[in-house]
Amino acid sequence: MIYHQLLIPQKLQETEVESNKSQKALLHKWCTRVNSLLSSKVSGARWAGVSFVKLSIEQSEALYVENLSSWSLALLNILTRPEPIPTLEVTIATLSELFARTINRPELQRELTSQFLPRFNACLLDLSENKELLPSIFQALSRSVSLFPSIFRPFVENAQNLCLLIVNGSLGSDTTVVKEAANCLAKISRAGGKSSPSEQWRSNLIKLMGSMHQVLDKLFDSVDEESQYAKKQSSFELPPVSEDYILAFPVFFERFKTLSECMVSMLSSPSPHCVQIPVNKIINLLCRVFNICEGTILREHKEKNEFFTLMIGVPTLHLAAIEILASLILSVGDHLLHSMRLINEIIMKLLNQYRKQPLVRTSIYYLAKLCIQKYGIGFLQLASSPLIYHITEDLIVVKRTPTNITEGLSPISGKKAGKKKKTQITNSDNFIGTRTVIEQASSNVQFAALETLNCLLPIYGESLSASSRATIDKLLLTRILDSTLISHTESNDNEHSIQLKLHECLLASAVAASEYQPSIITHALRVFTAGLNSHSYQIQLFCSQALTICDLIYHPRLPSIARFESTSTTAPPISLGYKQSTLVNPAQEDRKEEEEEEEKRETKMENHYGKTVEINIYRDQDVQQSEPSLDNRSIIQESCNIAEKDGASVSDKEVTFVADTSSSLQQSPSTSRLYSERISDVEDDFEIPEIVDEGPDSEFEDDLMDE
Amino acid sequence: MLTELVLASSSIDPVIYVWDFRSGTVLLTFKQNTCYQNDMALLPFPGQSGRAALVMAAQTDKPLIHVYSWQKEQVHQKFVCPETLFSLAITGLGSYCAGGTGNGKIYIWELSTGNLCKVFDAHYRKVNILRFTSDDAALISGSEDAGINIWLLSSILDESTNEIPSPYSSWTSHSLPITDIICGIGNFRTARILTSSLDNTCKLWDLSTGHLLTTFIFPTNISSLALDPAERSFFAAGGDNLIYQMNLYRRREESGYMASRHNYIEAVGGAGDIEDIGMQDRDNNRLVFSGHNARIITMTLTYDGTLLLSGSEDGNVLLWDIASRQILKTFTHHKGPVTNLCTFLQPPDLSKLGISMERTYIQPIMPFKRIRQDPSQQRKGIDDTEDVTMFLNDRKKDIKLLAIKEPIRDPTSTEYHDLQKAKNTLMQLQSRNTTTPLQSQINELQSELLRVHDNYQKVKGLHNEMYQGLVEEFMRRRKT
Repeated sequence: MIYHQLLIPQKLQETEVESNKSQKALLHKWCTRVNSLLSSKVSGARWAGVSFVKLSIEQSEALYVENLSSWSLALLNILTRPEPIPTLEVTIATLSELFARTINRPELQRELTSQFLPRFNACLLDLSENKELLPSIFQALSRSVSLFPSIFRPFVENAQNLCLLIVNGSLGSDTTVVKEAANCLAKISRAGGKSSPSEQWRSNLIKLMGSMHQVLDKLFDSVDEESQYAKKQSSFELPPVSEDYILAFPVFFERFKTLSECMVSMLSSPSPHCVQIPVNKIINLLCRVFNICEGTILREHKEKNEFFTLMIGVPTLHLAAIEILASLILSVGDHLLHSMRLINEIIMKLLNQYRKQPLVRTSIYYLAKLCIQKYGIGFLQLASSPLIYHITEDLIVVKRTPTNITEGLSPISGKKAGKKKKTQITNSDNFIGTRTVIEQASSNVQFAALETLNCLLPIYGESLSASSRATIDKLLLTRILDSTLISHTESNDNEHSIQLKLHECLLASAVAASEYQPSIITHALRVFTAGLNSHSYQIQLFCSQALTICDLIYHPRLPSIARFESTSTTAPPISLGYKQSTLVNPAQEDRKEEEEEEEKRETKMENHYGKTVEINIYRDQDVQQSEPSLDNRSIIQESCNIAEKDGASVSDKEVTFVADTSSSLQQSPSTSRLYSERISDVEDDFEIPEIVDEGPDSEFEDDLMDE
Repeated sequence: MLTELVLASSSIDPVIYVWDFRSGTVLLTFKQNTCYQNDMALLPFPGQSGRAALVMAAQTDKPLIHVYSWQKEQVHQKFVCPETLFSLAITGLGSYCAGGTGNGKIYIWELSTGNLCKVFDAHYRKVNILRFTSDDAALISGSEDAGINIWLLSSILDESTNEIPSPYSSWTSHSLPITDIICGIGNFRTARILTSSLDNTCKLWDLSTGHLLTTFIFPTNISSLALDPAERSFFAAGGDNLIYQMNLYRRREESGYMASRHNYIEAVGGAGDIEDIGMQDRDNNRLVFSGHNARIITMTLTYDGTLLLSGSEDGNVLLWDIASRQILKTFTHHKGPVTNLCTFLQPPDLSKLGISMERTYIQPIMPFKRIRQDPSQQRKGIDDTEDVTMFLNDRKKDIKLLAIKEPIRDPTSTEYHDLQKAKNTLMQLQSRNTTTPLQSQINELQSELLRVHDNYQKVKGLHNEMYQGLVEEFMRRRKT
């Protein structure tokens, strides 16, 4: 290691080093020693030699160019000999690096890569019998095919067969080797062979889908499928599996997972050429998987046990299908806009189906989050209400007091009162049973639900109904404030992450505040200020950032442009009663709650009326009914009052200043209204015609429909 | 070094000019094109935001769309449309193209397949302008019938229903034909929309709520708009050959007995207020760019928002410095009205014309279909031509970050890790070619070796004893 550090200045200041003869001599000595290590009879020394070669080419350009040919030959010779696994692994990695570095040098490519790379590829395929080397082999093949596809073409078929041997499900699906094989298959698909690269890619994808359909044909044999799918599709040749479903089904489940891994790799790998993606076919495949659920009907004259075995593995299939759908959304994005309703239905169906399976539910939430990020308001218009319901359901913490299990038991005949007393006194559970039992969803599910909510609020927060917003805000605040009362030694690691997410959601709620939500900013400020002294450093940091963002709300640098004339009414302030709220489906209960809230608002309005008249002499009745929350309202009112007293003279001037995009953080509507009213009073006496925003013109729409 | 270019088209002159407006050098011209105002759009390169890949222009006299690439002056592709288009727009990601017709219809095509996704009656009269919001969530259409409609793209493209799409909202405050629409910064929730009309007004709207924020009254009809990138001001050009700058914030000065003179900034308009630009004459504060000799048809701002380009009916394009309101350059390439101006950063394939060693890939777009196919047939995936043709980007890290399959991020669930651990152990036990069985075999051999060694020692001991006994016996016999 002493020697290899000497290589660093050689890389940085090559010209100086070249002039330094002693340094040259040192490097020559280094190369000689490395070469002698490479040709050593001791296997450990050869391993060290190869490792030093790798370090040398990574650090010194001059050494790389000087010894490229000799080292390549020496390393290729090592690959052909029986060597220990670590030596072979590091040799493969070194050779791969050697060839990769010739990519932008046509001369080296001509003299070295085109000569030695085919031999290297052949060696890799020969070494594939050694299972432990497979991850390294697949990595090297992937690199080779990506960088030099034309040299790789003769090996495409063999390499593809090797990949298919691994992804047939016999080696499981979660191992590194399977992932590398899937990745390699995706890379090979774009190399081309007999056909053009894009045709090869499409043909492989179609074959992959055909193979998946074949697996599903076997799996869904006992199920009455609603749609008919083409039986004969081109597919890869995969080894046959036992006819007995008990032996075959686990292999088929694994095979489906590995094939889906391949498809995800194909869809998420970059393509230098244009590719044709059969989006509709992929969606059909996914629909076939998602159509199988608990309510699926057993086909006539089929064995029930086979059906039940299938049902055990359905979550595995769904998980794989969710990943394919996510990669499809990520890759083709808005080309799926026409299937938005279908995607929404899939997500909602899965959320209803997997209420108690944390792993699948977490994945569904992440899929929903991706859809929100990709499609924004278009998706949320369809999905917001049920999604909020599910999120609320998962975030609720139910606290129960333990019940005395002996209470309901009837005493043995005869001795009544005496026995009861004795039981109650001696039962030790009664002494430790004062702690409440907390029931909540899995940490992963809560985390995923909060991430989804964090994406939902900035986009659709303002459009949510007042009751939904109140439920969410109450839930967030209750969870945060509850945690502040618990000693941090009692909370586990996951609780910190969830708390951080809760804070993020609270900020999202405060930033995307709706007009019916006056008090969230004050609560949020309290929480973030308290969070500065939190025991968690991450929460401290976040609260500091959150306060900076909130500062733009209560101390805006640009004055806001009022959105509309205030006709809004106040919603009831968020009550932080520590009683657990009953969960209701907002979609069903919104109307009812809004009616109730209307009544409450009326009473609130009356309460505010008297108070606001005292502080604001400019307000008309309409404005007085607006929400009374933000502090800067009174500041502006006071400034207006002062201006009135002083007999202000106002003049317009051109303003040029640095842009501040924070103006989207709205002041309360009443503030701007007041502001503009005040200015219009003071301004010159030109008449302002009354403009009425009529909103959507129903007559126009009717006529349009008629036409 | 990045260079900013301007592309200008005309409704009479059949040449599109592309030039560097700072040096005045014409870099490229496209032939055989005549298009109306707002009838041209730049197609972005997939995955490279800000790189213009192709130019699409709907023709004035025929139902045709011409597509131009940076590699040649002639038309790269020609698409036949069902009707002559009067407005054209492309989504930010370059997936969909919308065209408005003379009878109020809007056509939506998917660019990668050429599928006609939807045709619907959007207005009573000609669709003058179409714009997509920056997040591609909505399409905004302005018409001769003075109406502005907001359409959610997801509801337009929804295949599950055959109903005529209904607008998300309709704005009917303008009284004469709409001439220009500009979408402000931000997503659907936060964006503001600026519209202009021949009724001498410009209106600022809040997109998500549909509220009219401010009405700006000008002394003339407005034909074109340009909005500052940070939405501090906008520019309106009209029939009186002038460009009006309207600041959206202004400084007010107060003085009083109690307080010393101080300035504060206020937003202009809001809550449906009206701002009359003509009234500013009295204060001699009117911000006007004067220099054109004919009606101004189109305007655009440069990337940094410090320079303004305006094109007029006499074929002149003027470059203005916004701070000083001075003309910096006059370009007289066109021989007819300049109908479209757009600025963009010079694409890399434009600078390497003819000398590039690298192969240039052109964004694939399919010819537009004239008849809409049955969506149910498309969904079945029977027809291979329905495949989406595109370049794929590297999404591996995104997929990993999504953590769909395994919760790799915090919080770590113990049950999941226990499950994984058990699974791995099982795999190791099951696999026959891995190191575990070899190790166990070695262990077995080692124990066997130890046993053999012990036995050998025993045998050796026995042998020694026997030898010694035999020697002693032999010696004893010899003595006797």
